[in-house]
Amino acid sequence: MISKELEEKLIAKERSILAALKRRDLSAVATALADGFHEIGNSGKSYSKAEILDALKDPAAITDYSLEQFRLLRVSASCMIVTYIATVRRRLQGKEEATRAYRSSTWIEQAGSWRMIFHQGTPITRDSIL
Amino acid sequence: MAHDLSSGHPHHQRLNIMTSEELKELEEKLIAKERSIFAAQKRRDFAAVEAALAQGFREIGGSGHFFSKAQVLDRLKFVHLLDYWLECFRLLLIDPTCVILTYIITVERRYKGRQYFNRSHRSSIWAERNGSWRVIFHQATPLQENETASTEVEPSDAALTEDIPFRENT
Repeated sequence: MISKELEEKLIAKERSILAALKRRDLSAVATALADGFHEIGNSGKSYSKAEILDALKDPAAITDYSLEQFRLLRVSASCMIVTYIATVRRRLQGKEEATRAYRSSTWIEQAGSWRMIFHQGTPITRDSIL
Repeated sequence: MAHDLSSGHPHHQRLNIMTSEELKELEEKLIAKERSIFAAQKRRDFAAVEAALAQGFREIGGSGHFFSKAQVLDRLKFVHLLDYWLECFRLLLIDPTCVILTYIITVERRYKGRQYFNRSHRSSIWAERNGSWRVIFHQATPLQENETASTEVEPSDAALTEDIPFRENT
């Protein structure tokens, strides 16, 4: 139901956002996010596209990241959900910290281009029930 | 909380086939449907919960674990929803057949004789198929202690930009 081509394209786009964040390429991130984008961050707080881009101007440096267990869920021909686990290492005030979170991104096709409209992250904990 | 669809909003312009009355109506309908899932869960009406979830439904729970529809339905049998409060609804319209609804929930649950109380920021992606609206995807992110306002801005916590450090479940 989901073509291999589309699957590969969206995973590559997801990876390219992380790559752009790592090299602090504000315009590449801005292009990848749809107008009206918002996200629920790992702390449970919500952010608009403008807030995300603003935060990028002064980020803790991403030193490394790995993305795994990609899955795609088709909502419609022009709307897809990508889920994956992200492990992100950052240097915060000289200290290196790693976060592992389960993430979802909702992608929509607008005028022939796929852009992210919504993103949510949930830190992974041991308790798998509640 | 107001939905994200002021008149200058690009999605609104793109979706001008929907009037503001129709949009308001859809918003109220989906919020009622979202509430009804929790009501069904509380009265342990598993068939009603199942009927509200689309074929292929998946969820990322508050623990950061991935669940299929079957796993979610199975889990309902062991976790008792005692009470819940929903607030801060926001609607993100993707197209007339797909809507993302976000909100904050406070739940009181019982599992293996122990009571749990927590607050999380949720999203449900609703899709209309064959005239029926069902949830296709759901995700929960626990709100950290002392977090009250969903609109409070501290971009340093955004998942896309800066993740909070890994922490053990409390």
